[in-house]
Amino acid sequence: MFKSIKIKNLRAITELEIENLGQVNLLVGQNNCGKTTLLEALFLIIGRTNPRLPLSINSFRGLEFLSNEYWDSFFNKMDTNSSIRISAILHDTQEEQKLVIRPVIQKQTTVEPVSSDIVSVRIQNGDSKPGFAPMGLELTYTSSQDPSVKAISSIFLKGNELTAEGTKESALRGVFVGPATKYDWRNRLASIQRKKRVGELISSLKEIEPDISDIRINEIGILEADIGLRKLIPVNLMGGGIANSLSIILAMLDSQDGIVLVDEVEDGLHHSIQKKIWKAVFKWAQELNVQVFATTHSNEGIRAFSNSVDMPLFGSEAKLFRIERKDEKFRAVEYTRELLSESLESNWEVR
Amino acid sequence: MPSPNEALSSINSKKVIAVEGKDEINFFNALLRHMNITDFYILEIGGKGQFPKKLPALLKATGFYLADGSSSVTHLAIIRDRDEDEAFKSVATIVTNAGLKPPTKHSEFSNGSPKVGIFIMPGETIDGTMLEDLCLKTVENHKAMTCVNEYASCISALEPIPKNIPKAKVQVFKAQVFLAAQPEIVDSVGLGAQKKYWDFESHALDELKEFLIKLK
Repeated sequence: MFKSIKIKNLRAITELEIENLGQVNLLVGQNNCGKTTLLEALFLIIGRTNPRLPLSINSFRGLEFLSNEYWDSFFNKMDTNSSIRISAILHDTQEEQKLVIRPVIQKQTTVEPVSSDIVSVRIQNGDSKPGFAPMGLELTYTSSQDPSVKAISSIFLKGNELTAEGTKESALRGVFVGPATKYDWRNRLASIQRKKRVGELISSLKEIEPDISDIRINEIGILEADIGLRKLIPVNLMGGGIANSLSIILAMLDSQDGIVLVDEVEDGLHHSIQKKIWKAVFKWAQELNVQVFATTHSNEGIRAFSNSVDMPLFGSEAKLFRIERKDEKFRAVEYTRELLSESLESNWEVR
Repeated sequence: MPSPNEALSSINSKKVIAVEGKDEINFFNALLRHMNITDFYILEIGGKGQFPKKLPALLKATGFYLADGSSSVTHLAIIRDRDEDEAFKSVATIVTNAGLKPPTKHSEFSNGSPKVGIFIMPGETIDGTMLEDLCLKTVENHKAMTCVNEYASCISALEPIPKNIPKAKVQVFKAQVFLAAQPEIVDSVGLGAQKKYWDFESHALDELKEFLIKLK
């Protein structure tokens, strides 16, 4: 579980530090203030040396297309001279984890002065030079537990071939739930089935859709639910609210001792359902030791979050952070459960 | 509890006035409009006991501080009833605990960022403990006040005294009776101010106006 995070030069964020993270964190702020980028930074540091994750966070934004044109878009102002730096401190051990992302540069060098027309191409890692486009990313991960050990991985495009090198499994589990991953249920349900938690899933979903009694994967991988009709119904046809609820609850049940990141948590949810979802999130966060980061723009969603924290022992672990941006300055304003409650009671804007 | 979709309000002025309740909001909106002070954001704290909890929340509200940490708000005026002798000291302590610089004297602003001013109603120059005292002072020479005072004396002499006329707050009773004698009856001093039943040109308001003019 992360206690704090510091981000430099990732996408729009020049520099942002957030301390005193709770176990369940709601992130608010105006458009383009960096909320989703914060989730992405967390996703990257969770995955540490998995060099495919930068491509994953692009796909979460609906950008599946892969091209050398997009490598610099990860860097603030597309300036690849300034490396991306993400560091996080773990709550229990105080271990500091650092991830540095640099461009892999395609450098043109003349190797044989035989003919001025002959130019060779080689891959160079490190600082970029004007005129040399990146062809990939290099990720360097270090931990304060053993600062001398650097785990380096990279991903790059050469021709049309994508190559990932140096990948190592991360001990920490992270799941990203967003509009682009809303229907990404199949593998997660399979994992829940393996862990024998389908009963708990149904129990949580019943709070939202009382008629649901079972949920299964059919022969072509589509999730179907039993809601008392003469045959099972594809969950996709049960409405956006149940779809989003299912995504969030599946992520929680599949992330014991890990981290769940939810972009636009209110997506498709009526405020009465939002309160039920938050109750489920708090319940599973506590029981399965899951840390949660969720973004929202919704006033109703914030009230649902605040009104759902009714577990006295867990109350201090529920936080709201407003990410503020003015030009190139970023900061996070921390609300404890009590401050949030006082603010909402007075109808003072917290977003 | 507010409804799930009740609108939230951002701080939209550099001058913020924090008062106790809705009655005060109505009163100060009317008085400030009379003084041609229009650029301010007024909010209710919800009673003197709420200040320790609400002030830290107010400082977090969207628009109070900028993303670079500087204060967007230049002036924060805190106005509450006296009720007790140590009211100024109590508010000053709450301001200090919230990380702001309080003024050293009543009716003045500090030189902090934001500048914090404290005014304890009805002011140091008026006897009493609350807004109603000030309102009544502005109309003390109104011909209806003779009747109001006589009625209050008569009612107060009853045995047992009616429960809705507490001795310590006879001014609330008087204010209600005064308002009952106006062309269109309203049930609070704030709405009375909106109807201009209190005399905003009265010298009784000089000390308060001197404080509020610093927000201009």
